[in-house]
Amino acid sequence: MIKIAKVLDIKNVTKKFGKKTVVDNLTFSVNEGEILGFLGPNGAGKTTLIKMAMGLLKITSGKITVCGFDIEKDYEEAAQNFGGIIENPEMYSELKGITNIQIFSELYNDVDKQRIEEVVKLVGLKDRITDPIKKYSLGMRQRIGLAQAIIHKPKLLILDEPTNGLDPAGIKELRDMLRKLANQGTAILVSSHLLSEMELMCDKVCIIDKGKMIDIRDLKEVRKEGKTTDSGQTFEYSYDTNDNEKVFKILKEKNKNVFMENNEVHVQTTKSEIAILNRELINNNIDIYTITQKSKTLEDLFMETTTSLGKGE
Amino acid sequence: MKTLKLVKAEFIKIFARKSTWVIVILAALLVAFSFASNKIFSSVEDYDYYSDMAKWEIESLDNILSDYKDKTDNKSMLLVKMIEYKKSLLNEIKDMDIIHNEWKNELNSEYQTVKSNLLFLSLLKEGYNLSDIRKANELMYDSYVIEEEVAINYETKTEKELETYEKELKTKANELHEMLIGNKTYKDYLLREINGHKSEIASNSKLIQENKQEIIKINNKQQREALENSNKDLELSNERLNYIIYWKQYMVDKKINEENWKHSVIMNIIDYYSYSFKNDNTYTEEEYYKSDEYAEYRNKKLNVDYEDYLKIKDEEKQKVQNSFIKNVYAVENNININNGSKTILKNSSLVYQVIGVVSIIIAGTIVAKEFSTGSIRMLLIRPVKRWKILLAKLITTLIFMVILTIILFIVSFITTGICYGFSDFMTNDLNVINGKIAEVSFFIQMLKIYSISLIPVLFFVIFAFAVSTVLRSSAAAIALPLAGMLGGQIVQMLFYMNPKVWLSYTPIPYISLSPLLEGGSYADMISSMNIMYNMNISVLNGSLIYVILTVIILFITFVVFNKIDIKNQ
Ligand SMILES: Nc1ncnc2c1ncn2[C@@H]1O[C@H](COP(=O)(O)OP(=O)(O)OP(=O)(O)O)[C@@H](O)[C@H]1O
Ligand SMILES: [Mg+2]
Repeated sequence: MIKIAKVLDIKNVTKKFGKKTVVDNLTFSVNEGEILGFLGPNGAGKTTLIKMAMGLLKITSGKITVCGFDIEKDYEEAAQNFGGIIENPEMYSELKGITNIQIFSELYNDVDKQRIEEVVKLVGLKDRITDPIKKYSLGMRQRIGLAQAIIHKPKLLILDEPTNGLDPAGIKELRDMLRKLANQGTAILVSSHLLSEMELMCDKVCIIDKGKMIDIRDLKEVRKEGKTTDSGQTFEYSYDTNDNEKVFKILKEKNKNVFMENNEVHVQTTKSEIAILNRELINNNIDIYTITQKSKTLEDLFMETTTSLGKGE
Repeated sequence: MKTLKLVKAEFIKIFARKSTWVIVILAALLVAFSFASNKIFSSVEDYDYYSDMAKWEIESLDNILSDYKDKTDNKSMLLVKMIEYKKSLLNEIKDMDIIHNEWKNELNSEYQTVKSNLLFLSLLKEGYNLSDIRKANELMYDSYVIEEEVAINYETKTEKELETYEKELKTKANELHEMLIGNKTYKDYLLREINGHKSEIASNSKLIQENKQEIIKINNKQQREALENSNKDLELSNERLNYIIYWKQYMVDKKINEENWKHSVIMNIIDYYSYSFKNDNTYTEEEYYKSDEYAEYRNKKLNVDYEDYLKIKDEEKQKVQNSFIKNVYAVENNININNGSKTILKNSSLVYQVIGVVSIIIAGTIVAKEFSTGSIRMLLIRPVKRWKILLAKLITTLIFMVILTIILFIVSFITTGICYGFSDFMTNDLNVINGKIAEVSFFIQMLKIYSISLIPVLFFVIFAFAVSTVLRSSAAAIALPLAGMLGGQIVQMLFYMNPKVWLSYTPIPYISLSPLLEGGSYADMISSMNIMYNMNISVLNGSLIYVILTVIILFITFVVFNKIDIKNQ
């Protein structure tokens, strides 16, 4: 495999507001062509970290680099390489959409008229670009926000809740666009609460809570799990048959990890074991209608990790 | 380069707001109106003060009259007589049209005195005595000014002498009546004045001759010196009278009437000239330390020694001398320094305040508004260092202020020109430097006056910018500097009424700089105040204070802006 360059590198970053530690010693990175989902409950410190990565907040301790440029020491070079949206992208509401984009694009080294046209088309605002922003809907504002973020073809795209206010079609468009950008090599950091969306969108997720790193996971691997031959891992399977009571009895004799739920039989076991069980059931003259392997969703992961911490308090 | 682009963007933002256009247009209208208002309301001011006063006095006399009219005792009859006479005199005032002929004012009071004297004389002849007349006068609120002279003349003069005295008075009254009621003009008045001066000179000269003959005869040294001194005074007085005659004749020859601006300038010249005569009696050291002036200084706990006193006197003399030179030059070279369009334009401090208010509003919102809308986050994630963004905003504010100044100057220029004529702008302005006149083009003079007057305004605008950045609140950023700029002027006034030395190191004496410039309300007192209080108030020092404060404020602002966390609010 080719060595993947770290476009955004966050090392031992801590942020304190007064005595309150909001981001606590976080370390992770986003590589070229990678979409990293940044998850955490409200107040976890996502926006705070993103603001530090874009130079809006001073870093209390630790170091953030973008394409190798220190965000505090070489701010101008770093900023040339990132673009983004923080919370709601508030622009100059009296000005036309196009004027807003022009004002910002003039501050980058090489953005020409053509590029602006291209981006406007890309975010789907061609018809409304000469209206002042105050006449835009929430979703349109999100789109113009995205336009200003990608206008200079940044190597790193940071999006704080970009799906906020987008309609389902818009969300899909955004997903496709991000994927396209990632394929072109852009590193993308997205924070969002829409876990199912994140699942579809991201290559990796990073979960934080109360400023602390909880988990960082490669979603490609999570998805792959269960599709291959037995890895010895336990999964949950549910049976729907003509005689569930009987199935429960049979399985109970074989295996202890069985329970009934919603009139279905649930069993926790490994892949090779379930094949043996199936044969057994057929031999017992059971008609099996469906058998489902329940894969772990991101939501499960999220709830497990973050709420458990919440309970522990 | 990026800073320039940012400046351009800032202008786009400012002028995209309708409120900006509204306040600029309002400011222009306000300025235009303030210059035109004198013209617009001048007809209202033109009410006849003198006739009104006379009417009012007649009414109050009528009230008294109604109480005494039917009484038959001697004293009441006297009172009725005096009131009726006064009423006829007051009635005459209505026909004089003094309001359009100021020169008649003085003649009228002279006329009233002569006529009163005639009345008293006839009353005395009728057998009334002076104390009765006095009492009656008291009852009519002292309408008459009673001169002892009549009574003395009545008692001391023979009948024949009295007759000639009365005749003289009558002739004088007739002559004055002719001047006041007839269709005489200001020119006639001037000629009469000149004749008066000439006869005074003639009698002075006669006296001088007599004194000279006397001096030769007298042996007593003291007496001789007294006469010599009195001759010296008389000669000086003649010299002064000749000078006054010169200017009055000048006005006659050049057909200058009271409405002409040169009239008031020439009156000033005569005043300044006479003042320089009076002012020659400076105290000697011994006299000074015994004088009331010194006592007053001691009262105020001021240490003004004789040397300081001389300096103060000198400054005053210099000032009068400069004004004198300037006024003479103005008349001779036809340069209106009194109330032409130029002077009106120069002396309006409203323009600076309007520039200040509007610029403070812009400076107070230019940073704070980005924070309140949240757009600051969009702006600060660009590849431009923070200080450059702030600098661009500062430059924008300053350019805005310059543009506003130019717009408002043009508005004032055009309004003044339309109302009072443009031709005046073409003449040069006069400066007196080391006792010599220097002509300066009016526009250069205006540039100088505007630059100096706008120094404090500029400071308050930068102050607004700083508050806008550091506190991130538009309300505070507009309110604080406005309070400083407008409210500060009251504090400044209090300072000049009762100076404190330590305050002279603060901006307080300089809140508004235009009153410190030539012709301003504080300009004349500064030099003597500096000597009395041992201070050093000057436009230059004021500017220096502002420069230092501005540097400090801007330094803090930039450091803070570079350091702050851009939070949600
Ligand atoms: N200026 C501030 N001063 C003090 N505390 C702050 C400040 N800004 C944020 N915080 C706190 O920091 C924590 C993290 O806030 P942050 O906005 O980063 O959360 P988030 O993960 O983005 O949450 P959300 O999902 O609601 O957007 C919160 O507890 C918040 O109250
Ligand atoms: Mg957030």
